[in-house]
Amino acid sequence: MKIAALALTLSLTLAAPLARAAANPPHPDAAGQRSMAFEPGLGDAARERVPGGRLVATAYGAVIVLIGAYVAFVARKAARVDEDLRRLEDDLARRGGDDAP
Amino acid sequence: MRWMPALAVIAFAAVAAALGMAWEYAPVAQEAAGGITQKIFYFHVPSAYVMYIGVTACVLGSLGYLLQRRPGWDALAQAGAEVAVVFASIVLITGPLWARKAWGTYWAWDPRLTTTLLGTLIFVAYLVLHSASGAGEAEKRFASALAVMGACVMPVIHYSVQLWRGQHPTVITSRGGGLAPAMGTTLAVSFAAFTVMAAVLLFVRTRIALQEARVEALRTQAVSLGLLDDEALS
Repeated sequence: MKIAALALTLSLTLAAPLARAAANPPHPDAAGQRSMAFEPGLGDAARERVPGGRLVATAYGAVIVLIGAYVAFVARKAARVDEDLRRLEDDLARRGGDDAP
Repeated sequence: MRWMPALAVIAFAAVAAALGMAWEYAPVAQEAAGGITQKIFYFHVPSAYVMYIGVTACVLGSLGYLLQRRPGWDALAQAGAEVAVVFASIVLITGPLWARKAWGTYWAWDPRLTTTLLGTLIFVAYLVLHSASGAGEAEKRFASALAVMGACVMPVIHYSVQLWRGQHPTVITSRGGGLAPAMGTTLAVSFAAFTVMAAVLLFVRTRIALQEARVEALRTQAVSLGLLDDEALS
């Protein structure tokens, strides 16, 4: 029952943004309309209304933090598995010792 | 797993080199492309590519688990979903930062942005369901089915720029505008570095998830044989 409720909630939550995207009808030249070439330009940081440098620094920070956090999470999991295995061995060894004549 | 730190260092060094190259070597793009913020492109696009790799691993693992019920498949699916969500988060954070400069707004309900958000939410739901399930077989099957169904949104993300008009540009697709040579080189290096990172993360995380499942199975077996008390399962 809980799973069914979760599935229903999930479906309704996900349906809203999809419906919004589908509201735009397909267009025959959508790719052409979006096409853009990236070329070297003469950036003038002094005249920027939006501080681009700060945005790039934030993006770099986000990449480093997210990948770093995930690597730390994986490393912690690895350490925990090793610890669990050692504890299981200890438990079995102790139990074996208790049962010994 | 004594080799894990060495692999992590290699992967990190590759990504750090790619990020450094994007900052130093790649030229600043024209203002219409966002000027200096266009440098976000060199890790935004490879992150999206790694998201696809993660989703593919998750779907293969989920299909395998649904068909064979082997813990190795489930471990691969879990690793794939985690990698997909981490790199989709990078896409969803860095994209709006670039858009703030290039479009003047952090977010637009463009079909590609919307479907990417939708796909990310599906795999977040997979992870929540999977982690909340404990060792429950039914919940793991439900999570696997969700991953397989959720993957249907991936082609929609990919082809959304060709189907619907919107703001997200096409640059490196067959109908895209193209890149200056130095930009293309930087992007290629970045793709290679992120691929190495994805492979290492997927491999290591799958092994850890599999070992977790094995330890849990051993503990359950030891309890059922009377070698350990029930408390050992808690």
